[in-house]
Amino acid sequence: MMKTMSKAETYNSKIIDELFDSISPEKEEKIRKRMLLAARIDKGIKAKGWKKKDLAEALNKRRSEITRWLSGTHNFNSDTLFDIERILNIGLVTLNDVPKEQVIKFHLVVSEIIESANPMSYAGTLNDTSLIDLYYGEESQFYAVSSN
Amino acid sequence: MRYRLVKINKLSGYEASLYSIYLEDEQRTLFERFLEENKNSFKSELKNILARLNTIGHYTGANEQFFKLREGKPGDGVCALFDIKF
Repeated sequence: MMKTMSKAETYNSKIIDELFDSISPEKEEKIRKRMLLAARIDKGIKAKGWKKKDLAEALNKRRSEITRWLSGTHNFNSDTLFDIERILNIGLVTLNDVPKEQVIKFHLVVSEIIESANPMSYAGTLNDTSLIDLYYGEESQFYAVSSN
Repeated sequence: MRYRLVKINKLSGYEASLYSIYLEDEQRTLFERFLEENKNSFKSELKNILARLNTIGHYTGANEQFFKLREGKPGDGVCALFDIKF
């Protein structure tokens, strides 16, 4: 006799909603980030073709400690994160400021494309709105440019 | 024993779906019963569990690393979330 499976119904629960909604956004974010951090470390271990015991040996830790790190519940200290970054060659802690995208609008008339000019040059197709790369010496920055 | 599987809307997302079970003609799922029974004594722990399940459903998926394996009888596939401080 053929067995049939019907799709499970979706349900909402008052007690789940009440308890979940009582979690502060800050607490929820910390819990989520601990798990995302653990997932990234696990990915780094697998990317190296390693298992937990390999990371434990590389960092002179017990395997049970690695299990705790990967559980998503651990509150890491910075030195441990730096060690893991170094051994797995992955990024876990961002120290550099992420440059903010700048949007500058100005009237722009282009009569010719300058291939190269120092200390400042530009590159990119210029239509009504374009992304151009401005170079200041060795530094460069992208700008969204509107011609109107 | 008759039972019915239901998908928990609040905690399920693109990464994983989470389910509970209605037994016989009970009005609450097993998960709701668990929450009711522990909400007075272990409210903080329950909130942590819910936040972790929500992360699994919406952000990470049910990665094996988040679970203690072999928590049930041999071969039944039962696993558990880790204690907050283990």
